[in-house]
Parts: sequence; structure tokens; C-alpha cells
Amino acid sequence: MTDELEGFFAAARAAGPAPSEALMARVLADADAAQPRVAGPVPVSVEVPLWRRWLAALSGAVGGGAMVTGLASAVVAGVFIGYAGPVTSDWLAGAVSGGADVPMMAASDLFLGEG
Amino acid sequence: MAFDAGSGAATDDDLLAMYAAGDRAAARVLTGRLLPRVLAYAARLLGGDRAEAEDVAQEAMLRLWRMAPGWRPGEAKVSTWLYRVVTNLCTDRRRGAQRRAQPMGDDLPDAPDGAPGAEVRMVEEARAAALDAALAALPDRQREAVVLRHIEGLSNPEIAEVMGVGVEAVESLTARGKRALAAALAPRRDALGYAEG
Repeated sequence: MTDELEGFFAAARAAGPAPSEALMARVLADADAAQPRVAGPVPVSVEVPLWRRWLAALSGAVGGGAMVTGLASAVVAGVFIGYAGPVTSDWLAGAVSGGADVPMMAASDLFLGEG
Repeated sequence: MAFDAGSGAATDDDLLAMYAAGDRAAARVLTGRLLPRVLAYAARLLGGDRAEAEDVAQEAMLRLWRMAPGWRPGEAKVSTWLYRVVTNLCTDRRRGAQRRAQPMGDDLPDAPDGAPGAEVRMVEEARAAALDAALAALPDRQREAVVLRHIEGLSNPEIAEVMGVGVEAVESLTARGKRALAAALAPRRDALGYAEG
């Protein structure tokens, strides 16, 4: 009977209930829920200088970095004008002609015109 | 049959460590490898109650997942640990339930249709069913020992670890269980494909 029992045991090893798809899904869901979560890279805390934080806040308030650049340019120009005085025609003429006087239309020319 | 992988494939220890390290695919491989054996073992200990066996199998696997971070490779086999959990869970279930022995019914398969493959398959199925019915009639501890030894393929020291008894006790339980099975199955030898003599 020993050999015959082995025949029964062999049949039992080949048989047996197969797990249903539903049972497999439940077991895998349990595995997912119980699985340890591996921690990602820890962000390094960087001390941001006060002036950079201020600049970032200003940039956000006025509409971005381009606006900040424009404002900075305007400030510089204003400081320059404050030191150099108002812009005059002599200054402009000098800038164009290199310093030589450029006679404008003389009053006598008006009388030499056709009349 | 032990279900640790052979050479070249990840062992149960490896897969459990990978799972604990966050590898989700390892859980799928382990489930495919372990769940069928866990379910079959639980079903045999619970007299064929499929619903109860599924509950036990799911609970045992859940305990495996929770234990994974603390598992120390090499100290014991994952499969042995799992068999022990299933054994204890089934014992707990049987304590509170009024278990009725499955009758060795007259539900033999119909006469084979003549095709050799079909006849062999039907005889095998009938033998498996007859054995399961006879196992269900054994005392619990004898059934556990016989199933672990002759169906699940564990060694006597492994069975001793699963059942929490000594190796000599395992040998005694297995021998008594097999004698009872032989006596229960002898009257059905002819119907189950065994010739006289």
C-alpha cells in the first residue's frame, strides 16, 4: 500500500486549488499597502542671503526680473541727471558737432529774404 | 516540495529583502511562488473549505509582508515560516468551528470516454479527491505532518520547526497518519485504478 499511497500523494501534489485572480489581487494590494516607503533625497537647507530674498520678493511684486532691470536703469539715469544738471541745447549741440558753434539762422537773414 | 528557487533565480530570502527595500515586482514574484502552496496547504488543513482557506492564505501573506523589514536572511526559510503561520491560523480556526469530517462520498467520476489522456486525468483527479477526503478524517496533527511531508515535501526537521515539536514526534505522527490513510483508502483501490495483488 506504500507505493499506492505515493500514487495518491503524487496526484494531490499535481492537483490543489489554484488561487483566483481576486485572491491574487487582494494579496498584492496588501503587499503594496504594507510595503516600506523608501525615502527620497533629503533637501539640503540653504541659507539664502537677505538681499536675495528681498530681490526675489520685489521681483514678484513688480512683475518679474525685466521690470526690476528697467527700474534699476531708470534709477541710475535719475541719479546721473541729478548730478549733471538738466540737459541743455548747448550740451546737445556739443554732442553733435564736437564743440564748434553752429550758427543758427540769424535774424538779419530774415530781412534778406524775398520781400 | 520546497519552493525556494533553484540556481540562477532569486531565492525567497532575496525577494523578501527586495520587497522590503521597495521593489514592487518582488512582491508579485513572491506571491506567484508562495500563494498556491499556502492556499493548497490551508485547504487541506481546513477540510477543503475554500473560503476559509483563502482567508487564511491572505492573512498569512499579509503577515509575511509586515514581517519583511525585520526578516534576517539565512536564519530560517521563508517557506518554513509561512507554513508555520498557516498551521497556527488553521488551528485557531478549527478551535472555534465545529468541523465535520468530509465524507468519503460516492462521487466517483463517470466512466472515462475512452480517450487515454482523459482516462488518466480522471483517475488522477479521483485519487486526489479520495486522498483529500481521507486526510480530512485524520486527527489534526497527523494530517498536518502527512501533508507537510508527502505533499508539500518538507523534511522532518523542517516539519518539526513548523509544528513546534521534536523530529521523533514528526516521525510518529507521519507513520500513524499513513497507516490510517492506507486503511481508509484500501476499500477503494479497484475504483481508483489499483489492481488486486
